Amino acid sequence: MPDALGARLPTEEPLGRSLSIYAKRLAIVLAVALANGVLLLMMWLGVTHPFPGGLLLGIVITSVATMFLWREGLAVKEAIRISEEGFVAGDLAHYEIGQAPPRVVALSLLSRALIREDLRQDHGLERVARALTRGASDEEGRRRWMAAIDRARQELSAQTEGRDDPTLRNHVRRVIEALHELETLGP
Amino acid sequence: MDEQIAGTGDEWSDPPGARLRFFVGHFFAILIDTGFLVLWVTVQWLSERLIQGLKLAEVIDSWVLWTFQIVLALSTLAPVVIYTYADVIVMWARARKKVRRAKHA
Repeated sequence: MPDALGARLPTEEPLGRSLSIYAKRLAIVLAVALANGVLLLMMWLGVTHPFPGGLLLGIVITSVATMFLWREGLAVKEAIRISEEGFVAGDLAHYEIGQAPPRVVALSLLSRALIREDLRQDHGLERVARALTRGASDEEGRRRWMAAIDRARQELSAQTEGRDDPTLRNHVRRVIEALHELETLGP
Repeated sequence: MDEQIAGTGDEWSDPPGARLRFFVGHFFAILIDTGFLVLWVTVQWLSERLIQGLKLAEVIDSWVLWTFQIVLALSTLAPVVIYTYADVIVMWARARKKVRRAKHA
């Protein structure tokens, strides 16, 4: 499969997870419809049987529904950003090994390894390191960092396996050195 | 360009099982997204029926409910569009990736 980064359609996930994703989507659509249904009821009652506080209640319900939608929209936007950046990072790692500077390839591999753990990532070592340590203790941050570097090494090895090219071998050696350097620079 | 794409390892050169999974995955994703659109139409239809059943005293009431129908249509369509967009982006990014791979091949 061409999908190198785990940015997959819900239908490509295992059945349980796929069902859970679609159930969540359905629940959100129905919740919005239901919230609107309640709003309709409030409006109808408001015009036919006015009662004290009806308008205030309507405003509260609408505000909560809007906040809920806004948060969900932001989450989806973030997922799309990670997915798009992930493809960029993956392309670099996959196609430019042997061409891009070793440190770029190493960072790209590292970003890709991070995305697989669904961590926020951005370009640049500092941001990658910050993403790793967010909400984690020093020890946990270090553990994640080392695990990501290990996965990056495995990925590098898997991508270059069977490609017997002295120039590439030399470049891969420099990428491994860059990964080693990142190991010492990490959190 | 076509020759380059044909010469690239894409889903057509995958084993039949993987190829089938690839297309089935895409097919059902599109089908389910369409299902959500159908659900949206159904909700609009139900709201229309519901509103027709309400007894309205004045013209202004019908204007209020007419506004409500617009709000309902937009707010229920928003999540459906967001999710469909997310799925389409994944498919689109794959297509771009495949073209880039062909260029590098």
